[in-house]
Amino acid sequence: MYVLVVEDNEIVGDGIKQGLEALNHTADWVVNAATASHALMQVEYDVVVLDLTLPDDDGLNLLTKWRRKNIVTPVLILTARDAVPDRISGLSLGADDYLTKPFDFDELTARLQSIIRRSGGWADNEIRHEHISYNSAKAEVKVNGLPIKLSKSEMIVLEALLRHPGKVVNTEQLQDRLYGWSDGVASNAVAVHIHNLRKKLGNSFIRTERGLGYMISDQS
Amino acid sequence: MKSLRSKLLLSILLITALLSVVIAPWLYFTIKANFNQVLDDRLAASANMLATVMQDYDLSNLEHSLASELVGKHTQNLQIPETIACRVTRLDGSLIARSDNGENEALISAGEGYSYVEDDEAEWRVYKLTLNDFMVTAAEKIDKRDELLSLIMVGLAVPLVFAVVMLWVTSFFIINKVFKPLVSLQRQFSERSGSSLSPIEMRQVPAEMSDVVSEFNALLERVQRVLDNERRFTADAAHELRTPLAGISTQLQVAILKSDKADNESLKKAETALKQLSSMLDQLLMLARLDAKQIATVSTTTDGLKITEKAIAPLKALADQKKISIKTEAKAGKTVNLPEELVILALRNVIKNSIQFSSVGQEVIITITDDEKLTFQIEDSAGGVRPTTLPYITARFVHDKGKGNFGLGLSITSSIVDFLNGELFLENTSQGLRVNLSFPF
Repeated sequence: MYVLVVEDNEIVGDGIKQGLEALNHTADWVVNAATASHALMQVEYDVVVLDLTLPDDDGLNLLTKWRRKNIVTPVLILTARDAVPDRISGLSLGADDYLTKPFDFDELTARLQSIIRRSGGWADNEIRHEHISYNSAKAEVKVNGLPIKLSKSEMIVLEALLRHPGKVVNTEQLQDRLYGWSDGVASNAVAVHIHNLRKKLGNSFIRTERGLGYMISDQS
Repeated sequence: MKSLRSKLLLSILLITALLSVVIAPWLYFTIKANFNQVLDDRLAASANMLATVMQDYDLSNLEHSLASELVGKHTQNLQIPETIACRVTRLDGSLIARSDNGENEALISAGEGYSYVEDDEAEWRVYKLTLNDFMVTAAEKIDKRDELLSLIMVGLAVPLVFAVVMLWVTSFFIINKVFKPLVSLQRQFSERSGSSLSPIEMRQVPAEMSDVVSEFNALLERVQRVLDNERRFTADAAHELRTPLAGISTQLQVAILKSDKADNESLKKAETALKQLSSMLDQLLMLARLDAKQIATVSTTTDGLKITEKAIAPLKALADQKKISIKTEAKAGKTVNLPEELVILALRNVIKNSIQFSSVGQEVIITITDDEKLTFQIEDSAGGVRPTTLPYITARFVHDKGKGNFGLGLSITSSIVDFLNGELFLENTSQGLRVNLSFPF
């Protein structure tokens, strides 16, 4: 999954980013509300982890602004405020979940996956498409029921395509998911991963839409 | 404690009554003395006037009957009442003239000047004047004087009593009116709930009380500020302490994710210690919130068994690990309306202690009753609490058996019980500890 972490505390923000990356996910970490809003306008994230105490705005305020602008990216509030009224106001303002600090990392990732599952209408962590199945919690891919080994980057590209069947995912989006929003990347890196995926999953599984990007058919 | 109003009314009543008691006899005796003096002077003047008239007559040749007629004629014309008598006699006692019927012999025996003489009918005040060849005696009945004096006294007493009664009545109304703002202030105080910090209405407060009330309002404002600060401190402390803890915890978990097996062991121990610290922070914040009554008490419909099951659920793993069986005996089934989360937390802390301190294979028995209050009795066989520690066991950071325990669990339970107006009772049994938790519903 591709996560935007909005957290002004360096140790926590860095910890979440590193932890998610260690679990084969991609995370962009920003430290203030302005950058978070900007990032969310530019990039399509699967989920946002939002701290409520930010240097330039209140997290709940920021969330209200996003929802008013019709930004529907799921949001998990991560905060030290644990009073029930805080939770209620967070959830009623459009947050999808609420987790208090300090938190268990496994719980955070489980909740993030659950939010993504709910927002995409998936019943469990497994996405099945034609002869391929992908388990996001276990980071496991099976072809015709047999597990195959994919690199972290290949897994990210596959997940992005599986989550948007029948829709074109452009190279830039895939680059963001692979390397994060601000990271520079070699221009043919995505093409290399697509090539490797085709070799492992079958040539016809991923279609190239010239000049637009890549897609998989919407028939599962 | 008597009210100021009653005290003031009673004081006015007593003072006026006392003054009346002192003034009335003084008035009586002063008026009586002056009144008698005036009447005596009048008696003497009458005698003197008669003597002057009588000197014009040649008394030696005057026949008694003629004199009597003379005087009688005058007196008849004058219509002298029976209460006054005049008599003129020679020095030998023979009568020259009289105003009465002559039966009043007592007047003859009166001495010179003023005297009191009593006869069969009445007592007289007599004035006797002796000249060269005759004596003049003027007398007045005492009871007539007393009658007059009584009339004067009644005439004085009626307005005095009326004035005193009117003073009482008007004092009652005036004092009631004056005290009205104070009574309204008293009502405002008595109708306030113990936790209310709203200021006292200053509109009707009298000037004498305005300083006290405005000081009190200022005090309430300060208390409110302190509570707000405490509330803010709790929220700030939560954030300020939890965020670095979250930082350490996240980094530690990432390190565990990335580490090899050897490092993993030490990192996991560090993570356990961090979890303990985090749990202690949660408990301290919970206590701070309970102290500041900042707990949102949303009552839900529940029952004793449901509460017990929810309290035990997170402790199952710990109990299974120590092979401790938790037996629940429910003599209850009523649906109750209580802030479930708080009751669960209060109960869980007690059960957790019992599991923690029990030896492998022992059992914890929970009995639930709901006759008048919802009561949970938790009994273990863990040896109980030292008798010297038992009275203080619910105090903060007091613990009997240490080991992974901060001495905050029972403090939280006790605070929750207080918060919900319940009761907590702990006693040692022959085997262990028996804790009774009851909540009104």
